[in-house]
Amino acid sequence: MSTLLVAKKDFQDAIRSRSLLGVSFLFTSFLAFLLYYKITLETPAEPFSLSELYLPMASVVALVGTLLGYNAIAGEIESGSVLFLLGTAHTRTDVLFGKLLGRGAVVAVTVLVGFAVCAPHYAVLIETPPEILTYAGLAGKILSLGVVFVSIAIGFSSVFQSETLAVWGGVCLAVGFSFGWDSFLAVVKTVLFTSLTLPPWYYLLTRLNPKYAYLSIDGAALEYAPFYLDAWFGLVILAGWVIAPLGIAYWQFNRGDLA
Amino acid sequence: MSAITTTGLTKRYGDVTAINGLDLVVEPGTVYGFLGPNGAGKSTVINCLMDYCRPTDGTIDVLGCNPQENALAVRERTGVLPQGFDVYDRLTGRQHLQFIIDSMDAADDPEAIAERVGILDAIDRPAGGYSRGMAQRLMLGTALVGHPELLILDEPSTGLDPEGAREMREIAREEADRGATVFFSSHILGQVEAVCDRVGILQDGRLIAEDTIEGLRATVAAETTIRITVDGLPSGALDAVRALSAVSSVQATETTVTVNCTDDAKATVIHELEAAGATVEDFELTTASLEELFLSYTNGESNPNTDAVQSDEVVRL
Repeated sequence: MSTLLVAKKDFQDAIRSRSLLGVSFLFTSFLAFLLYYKITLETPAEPFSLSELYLPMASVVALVGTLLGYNAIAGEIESGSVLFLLGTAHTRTDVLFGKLLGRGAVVAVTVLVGFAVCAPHYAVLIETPPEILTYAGLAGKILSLGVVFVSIAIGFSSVFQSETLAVWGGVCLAVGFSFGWDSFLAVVKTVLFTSLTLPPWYYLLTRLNPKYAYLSIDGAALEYAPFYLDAWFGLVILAGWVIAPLGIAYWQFNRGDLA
Repeated sequence: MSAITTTGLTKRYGDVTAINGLDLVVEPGTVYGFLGPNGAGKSTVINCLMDYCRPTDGTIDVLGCNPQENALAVRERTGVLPQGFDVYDRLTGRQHLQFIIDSMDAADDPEAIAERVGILDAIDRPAGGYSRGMAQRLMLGTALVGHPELLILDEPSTGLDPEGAREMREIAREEADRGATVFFSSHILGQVEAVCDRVGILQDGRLIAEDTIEGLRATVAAETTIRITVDGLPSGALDAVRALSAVSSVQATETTVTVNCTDDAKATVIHELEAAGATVEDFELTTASLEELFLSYTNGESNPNTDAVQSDEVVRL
């Protein structure tokens, strides 16, 4: 109950933020542009599939989630509003989970608004009948990724109990997950492997980045596919990315001085 | 059972000791004035009571609970106006109050509370547009929600004009009359003098005096302040004066010594200074006011500038 009250208040506060409006607008515009570009401008070898949208949108939602979460704890501590929350019948744990739920709800609204606004756009552009269920499924995947990134950012936010550090931590996280990870893997691939067959752990390394966790690995390219390349293990990775940062946040936030 | 008890409470930040083995007892139903200059450690004590901070050592008991183990039990029964709090800029006063009412599971009416703390006309405006004084009133309002058994007010008159400060004291008194314990910190004696049953003076993280206002007044009445002009202060002269049992405090500049002592010890003090090798050129006697007594307690000789004590500047530890 307490957690929900904090979540509700956090949502009320965050949803009124101008920067959130900006982020939602950019998210929606990007999705609209991407649909337009993929369907009408590109002349692909194969017909358009909604799965082409997954990776670019995953990168964008990584940014959105990080933006929403990086300041969730550090900002409250720095400004002193955490004293308002904890001046009444709440525990530090209520505040932490309330923040996760509140910011998670905000990311959900951003993603759902974006996909809802772009749905007619998609239906009009596509010449074949629109795949409504796949479209909704894609929205769901992107939404859950958003929550994962919020959780990661909140974990960081509780470690850096200063707003400035949290900003830089947030920027590093967003860039790291959106681009850095890919560049690192590209380097590993070029330097270490010359043959076309990559070892299974390389694929694991790839999908440890939450935005790749939903992608199924083409096991045919491998001699054998270990369990960690199965589709279900992607969900384990995502759960790990929610639980581990929250665990760190829980430990850190329950331990420190807040004033 | 006491409302607040601390035993050997100590809080260190690296090399800095903010609270130094504080033993404090606040009896239920009283208004306790927690006095001390900025930086004395008042806010740190309050932050430990509310579990905003974790003490380095010592034990705390608030309403029979240990805040470190059961912060929720303390917060459910306590209303707090902390130092260094912030409001949510985008939420209205009403939303702030409603959040606390829901959190405390109380039946209060946001408008009634807003009226009581004097922000009714601004209740539907976002709190980001509030002045510091209005935010302070809003926070006081949230502290009153649910008729808490204990009210902790940290420098409640910050940002308020004298009239606002008076209203604040009035509310503190009303809450005490209802049966609540009020723990009221301030760096200005005048703020607590009129409302407090008991006063504790904190200096460098330690309680250096504790009494009823009447008791403090009695001490003052029996005390005389002598301001002595000397040609110079030989080493050891101040220590010799301070060692006298009749002397309660000593402040000094290069050529003046200000001593608070019992009325009959004046001659002894002057004699002691001369025995230590100082030549007394002049002296004047005054009877100390309570304010001066407070300043002499809290200033010591390290900081003869009383303005520093009276400024309204907020120091966060």
